[in-house]
Amino acid sequence: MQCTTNLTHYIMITLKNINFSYSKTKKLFKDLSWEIENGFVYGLLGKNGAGKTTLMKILSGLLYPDGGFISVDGFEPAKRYPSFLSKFIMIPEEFSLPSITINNYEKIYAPFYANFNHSAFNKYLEEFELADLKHYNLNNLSYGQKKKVLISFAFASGTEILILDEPTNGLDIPSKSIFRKLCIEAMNTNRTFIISTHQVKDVERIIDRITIIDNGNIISDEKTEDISLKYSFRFVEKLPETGVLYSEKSLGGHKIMTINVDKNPSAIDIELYFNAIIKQNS
Amino acid sequence: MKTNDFFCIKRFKLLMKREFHSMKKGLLITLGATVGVMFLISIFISGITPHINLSGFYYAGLYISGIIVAGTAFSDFRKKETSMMYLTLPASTFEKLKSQLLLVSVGFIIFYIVAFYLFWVLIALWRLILNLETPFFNIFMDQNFLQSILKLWFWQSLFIIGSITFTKSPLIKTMTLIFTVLVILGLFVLFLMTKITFDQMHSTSLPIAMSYNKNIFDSWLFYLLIPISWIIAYFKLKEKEV
Repeated sequence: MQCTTNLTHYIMITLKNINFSYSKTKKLFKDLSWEIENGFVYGLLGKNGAGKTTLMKILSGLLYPDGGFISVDGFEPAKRYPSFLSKFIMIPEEFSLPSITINNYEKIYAPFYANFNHSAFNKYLEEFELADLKHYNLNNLSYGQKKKVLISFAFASGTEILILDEPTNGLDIPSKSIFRKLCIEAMNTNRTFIISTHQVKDVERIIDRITIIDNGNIISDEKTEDISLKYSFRFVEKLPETGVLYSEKSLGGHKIMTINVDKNPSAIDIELYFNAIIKQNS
Repeated sequence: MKTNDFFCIKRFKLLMKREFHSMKKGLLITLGATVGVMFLISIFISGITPHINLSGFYYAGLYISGIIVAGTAFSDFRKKETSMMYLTLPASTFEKLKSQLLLVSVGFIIFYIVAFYLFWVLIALWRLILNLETPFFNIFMDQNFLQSILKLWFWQSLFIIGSITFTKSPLIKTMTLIFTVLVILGLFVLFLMTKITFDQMHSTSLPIAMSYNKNIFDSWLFYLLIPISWIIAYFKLKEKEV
């Protein structure tokens, strides 16, 4: 189930010909371009070191590109204007929280976000079974619990853009499904979520668009509904001789990706789709 | 850029609240340690001589703890994770710098004066046991009071630049850098003075540099360096990446 509803989409974020490198010898991004529309949940996928986190940092104004143009709802992220910063929240994979209670965290940080919804925050904490821990010091919570507090805070913040780097890392199995449920609940027509992850199974039913980054550029950015109409993903015991776009050996047979001839939406195997696109690009 | 994006009083108050929460522990530890050390030294001195130089304690404590507090400012930059959270906090660069400057300079002075008088009470009580008198040191009536604050702000401003620039051990790195610059500057001045003295021996007129006898630390030019350092700190913070 995807999070989008019927609405008019517009380009919220534009990246044009972005160049970035950590060292003089090797460029990470070479003329990277990407347009992000509002009202979608983007799944940003890529191999290790492809630059997903770097791209998220550039979008957040935490890193400055060597060249190119970026606009986030009309703002240049590198300038870090408060009106830009209050539009988004980023949850990095590695984070550190202050040594204060959840209650105080809410009291100190929530006022920075004009549309923060306190009742939603309490509800999300309740869903994650953290409501009774509001008077606990954040540093006394486990990594997963801290992450759930951050996720609840981000969803309740009312910001237009949410950038989540590996949001399900460290979450237990029940919390992963709660995360998916809350993501759908928190998403609305004015918001855009960008989720970077390797745990595709955790997010496959919530993402609306699959964006793949490889070799310093965005190599694919498609709506999941278009993918499901374009391609068919199946498991076969014997590999067909023709019509297979991509296949992978699996226990007792093969997972295959073919052209969706009958045009009926098929369930997407994101892992297979990702591997197919990467292979095609290599 | 909207004016609101540079400074907004409502947002600034929120930021001050946040900064105070994150700085109070470090500030209290530094001041507590300063009072403790001053108390121990004064106990030792009281055992040797009945005289006690309270102004010496005041100024030494002021500079040492003031520099430590400034060198440990912007503590969010010590770790990548906290740095990311801090830089994406919806407040302007100006507000972020100003909040730290207010706490490190003005806030620190207020807390330090309170801490100093706590020390005074402690040592006065101790010396009372030893039947020794402890003079009252009125900081506000001291002729060097304002000048010492300005001098402290100058050194603090350098350490604030260091705390933005260096991720690891900014206090030690800034100290080393200042020491190196002062040594180089000292050697240069020594070279200049030697040359001037040598030239003077071959000339009848008095060189300008020699006739300028004013202490550089009392010059208005020196105090001009405070706002200049703050401006440098602003641009350092503006260009800070993770």
